[in-house]
Parts: sequence; C-alpha cells; structure tokens
Amino acid sequence: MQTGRRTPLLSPGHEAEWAVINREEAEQMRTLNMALTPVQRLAQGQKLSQQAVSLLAASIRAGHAPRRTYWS
Amino acid sequence: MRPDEPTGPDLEAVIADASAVGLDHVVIGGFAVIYHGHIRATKDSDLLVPDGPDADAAILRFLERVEGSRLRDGKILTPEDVAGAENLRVNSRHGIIDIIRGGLPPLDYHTVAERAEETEWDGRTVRMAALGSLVGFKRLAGRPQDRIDLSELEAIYGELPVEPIPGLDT
Repeated sequence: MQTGRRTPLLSPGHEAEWAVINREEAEQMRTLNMALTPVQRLAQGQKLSQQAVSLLAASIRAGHAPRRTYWS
Repeated sequence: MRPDEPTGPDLEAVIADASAVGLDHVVIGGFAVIYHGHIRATKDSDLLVPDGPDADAAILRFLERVEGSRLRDGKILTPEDVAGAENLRVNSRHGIIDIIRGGLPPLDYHTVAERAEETEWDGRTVRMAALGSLVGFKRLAGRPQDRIDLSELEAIYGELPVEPIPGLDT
C-alpha cells in the first residue's frame, strides 16, 4: 500500500491547519487572561512590557534594531 | 546601558508619582487594553490629562519627579513647552510616558474620567479608561496595533460599545 508523504506543517498548503491551531491558541490565551483579575493582568502586562523593552534595548545596543523603534 | 536608554514601563511607579504631585489622570493605551483582558507588551505608559494652567503646573511637577525629558531629543521641558501641548512623549526613570490631553466629547478628559473604572493595585487607586472610552481612542488612532487591540477585545466581549466620534463618524 502506498502512503503519501506528509509535508511539514511549516510549508505551503497547511493554511487550514494553522488556522485551527491559531484559533485554539488564541482562545486558550483569552481564557487564561480573563481568569486573572484586572490587577493580576496589569502586573503581568507590566512585567512582560519591561522584559520586552529590555530585550529591544539589548538588540539596539548590539546594532540589530534601529534606535527609532523606541518611539515608533 | 546608555543614560538615555528607555527602560520598560513601570505603570505602578508612574501612577504613584502622578498622584503624589496632584496630576489628575486616566490610564489609556496599552495598559488599558491589558486591564480589559488582552495581555500584551507595551513600550509606554499612556496618561490622559486635563487642559488648563493647573494641569500644566502639575505636569511640570510630575516631569521633575520622574526625571522626564523629551524622548526624541532629551530636552528638559519648560513651562512654555508644556503649556497647551497636546501630546508630550518623555523618557523617564519609569520608562517612556505619553501624556495626552483629552479630545472632543466623548473623548474629552471630563467624560473619560467620569466613566473611568477605579481599581486598587498594591494599595493604590488606579483610574483606568472604561471599555467604551478605550474603544473610542483605538478607533480614532486606527494604527495597525489599535486594530489588533479592537479585534482582541471584540473576541473577549463580543460587540464593542461604539459611540459616534466627531470627525470620524459624523
């Protein structure tokens, strides 16, 4: 019996599968976020933002991202 | 780290210092999106503030307290820079802060402040823009990130509260 070789998910032709994966992931994130109190969300968002800016600053220092990204 | 290099936004500290110097404000922007349910990174703390000389004086006290200087050139802002300025984007010891004046109703400071939600955060009262106000600001700005935020909020709340905005809907 011949079986068709399945192409990797990260290749063209898997848009429908990605749509399902992305939809499920987004729904899980929304559920997790809304299970937190607003204050817990603020604390988490602040921590995430501080890490993000710290990472961006490191990238700018290393010359990988332009400095103007700070005020974009 | 360069001395003029922004750090991540510390909204808690921004609110503490704004309150300490008597700067009336409502939190809008990315942190308001986070508050309403969509957690994402943001580069700054956005404060909506009133117009007028009292607010101008409070902004100057606030800028001094947070060691704020204009983001694009590092200038220490003067009373002349602050008076009547619609938008001040500063770097500070608490990260980048956007100070924005209210717009036309329903996005004027008075209406947004009246509708704002108050919540306690580590013993401090935070005034966050209500969902309806946030949706208005996002619709008005209309940048790609604003459209993503609206889409995420719609996924959480269903149909969003939309009020007519002068110049945009009428």
